[in-house]
Amino acid sequence: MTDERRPADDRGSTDEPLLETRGLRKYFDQDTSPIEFLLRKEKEPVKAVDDVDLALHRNESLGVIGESGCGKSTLLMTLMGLYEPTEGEIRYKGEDVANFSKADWKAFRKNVQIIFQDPFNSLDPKLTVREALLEPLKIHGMGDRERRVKEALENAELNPAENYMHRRPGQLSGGELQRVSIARALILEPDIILADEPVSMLDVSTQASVLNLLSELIDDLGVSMFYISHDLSTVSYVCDRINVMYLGRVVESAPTAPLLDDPKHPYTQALVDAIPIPDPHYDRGRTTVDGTPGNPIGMGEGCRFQDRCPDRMEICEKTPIDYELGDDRQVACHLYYDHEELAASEARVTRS
Amino acid sequence: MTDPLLEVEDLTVKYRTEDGMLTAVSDASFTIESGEYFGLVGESGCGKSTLTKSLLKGLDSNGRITSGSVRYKGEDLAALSEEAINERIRWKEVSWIPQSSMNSLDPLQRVSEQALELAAVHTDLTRQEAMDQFRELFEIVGLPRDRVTDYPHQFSGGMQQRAVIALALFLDPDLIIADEPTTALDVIMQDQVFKYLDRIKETTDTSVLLITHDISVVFESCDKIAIMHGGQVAETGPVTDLFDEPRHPYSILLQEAFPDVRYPNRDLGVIEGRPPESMGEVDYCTFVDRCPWAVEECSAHAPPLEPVGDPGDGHDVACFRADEVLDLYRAETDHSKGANTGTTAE
Repeated sequence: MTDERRPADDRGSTDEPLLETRGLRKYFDQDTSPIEFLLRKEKEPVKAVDDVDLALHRNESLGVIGESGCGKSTLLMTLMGLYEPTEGEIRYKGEDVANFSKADWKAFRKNVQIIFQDPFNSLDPKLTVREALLEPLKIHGMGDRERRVKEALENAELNPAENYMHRRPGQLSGGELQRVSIARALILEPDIILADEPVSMLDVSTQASVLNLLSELIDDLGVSMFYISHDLSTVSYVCDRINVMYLGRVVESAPTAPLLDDPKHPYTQALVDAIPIPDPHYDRGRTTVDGTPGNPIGMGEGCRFQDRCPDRMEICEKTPIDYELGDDRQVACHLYYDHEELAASEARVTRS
Repeated sequence: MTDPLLEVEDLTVKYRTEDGMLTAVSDASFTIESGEYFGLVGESGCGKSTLTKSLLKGLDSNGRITSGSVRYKGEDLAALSEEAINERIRWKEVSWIPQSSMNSLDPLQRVSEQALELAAVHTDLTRQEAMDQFRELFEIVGLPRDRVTDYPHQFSGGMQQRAVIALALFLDPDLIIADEPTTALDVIMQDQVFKYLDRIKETTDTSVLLITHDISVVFESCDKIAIMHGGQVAETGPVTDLFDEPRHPYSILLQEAFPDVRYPNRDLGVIEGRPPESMGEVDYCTFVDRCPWAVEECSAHAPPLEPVGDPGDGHDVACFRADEVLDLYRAETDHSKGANTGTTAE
């Protein structure tokens, strides 16, 4: 290891993003039948993640919201290094993960931890809580194990820790299991937690406590979080900033409160408007959007929401840019800028 | 007075287990009138699924109704044989929308064939008449008429769910039991499904029993609600009553736990503990261990489900402290849910 090749967790300055994607694409090939193979029929790939730029900063909690099939899970898997990107870069502390050595990957896997959606299936049923928490410490050769286990449980609000250490997953409730998952993620003192719908399988009576816990962790332990969910009504409790994904693309990005209060993209508007309100006196009206998202296969140019969009225009056949609205908001929609004019002025700039 | 459409009275359902008799539903009562949309709400393990299964003899083999009755238009369903229920009640009178439509349509049959089979068994309609009627229903649930002959896999999840709704409506039942019909769907699709259920409400007298964990959906789409906890009906009545003047601690705290996207900064409530698994006789309030206002009496007797508020509006509560908990709650917190909660001092 030379001076240039420091381990991944020592690199980087504080102002650059902790984790960043640039033009990230992940395409999947479709299965080809033997006949199609013989006929040399090329099938269009599934464009699960298509040109996504994201930046997670220190002490920030970044949300990616979208319906099933929008590509948010593929994005997460690609960030974790489980899928190889088709195109584009993933940068951790400024370093492209494509150039990672084996040691870098090991450091990355220690520093970037995951909380899965399903607490009932993401813990080994045969291991006690203590054993489940000791395992990552052994793998990463960290000492002072008993103290760390106790501290991680306490940080995850499993008090007193001794009461939980010797229990197995079958003896815990969904909320307690998810806290064990959180403790297991925290025990390696990561700087990023990737959370995949961590409360969607919990009952509403415990959902809030896990949401509160996650948001305290960001503030108290200085962990950054990348949070994936389909549920806009709970993200405000965890996320500082939201990216809305639709068929592989980010259509809108904004700080959480303004996004919920005044969504700009017609798709975000439809999503926010469709959330049920727990108030029988309030009439929000039913959704005006028809149809379903479909699949990101063989999609040509243009906005991917155009077929369902109530505000569709002719120009929507051209792919919208990520337009800067000011106030730290971006939207990929033709309603907010003049595409032709922008293209013309860009052309002038290139010519000159 | 005519009989209500569905009347569940003091229903107790038990499962035989290795550890003894598990009481999944105890002394549950509620009533659904004709044309009414009724929401049955509770967390997982509250007994709502067991209760629903018991209505039409759908319990697992180790479960049975040990006391109480289920009367449909005055007739005791528990006393009917399986054959009689199949012949007279299922589909024609009471139909069913299950949670997972993927598993409830025959993947090898066109959707129209499944409808025609129902028509052949239960009606005198000719194939042509049945087909025409089914096409019309497709339109009502927002599916293209010509797609009735598609196979289930040709539809998306939301469309399958609507096809199942069309099937459930097909024989013009008086009651549709919908078991978490939109839980597997995304919010926009969920709203589309409820848009069609709204339309059915406007155009027919069909009642719906909606089983869900999501109180928001019930508040928006139902006339009445029953909230269950640990096998007991905690509170039942018009949705507006349970919103404005909830009388059971669980109803109050459950509402506090639900996020409202209009107020993203409001603190969400947490209910500590979890519903108990009750063995044998349930002679206590099953919420007692989670209740901040529990008194000695709550562990000694099961509180009876009794009317509160204006007589005749059907607002019933099972709590010994029903008259004071809302005031206690309001005194302890300065939460107000918004302009619509009657927070006027009494």
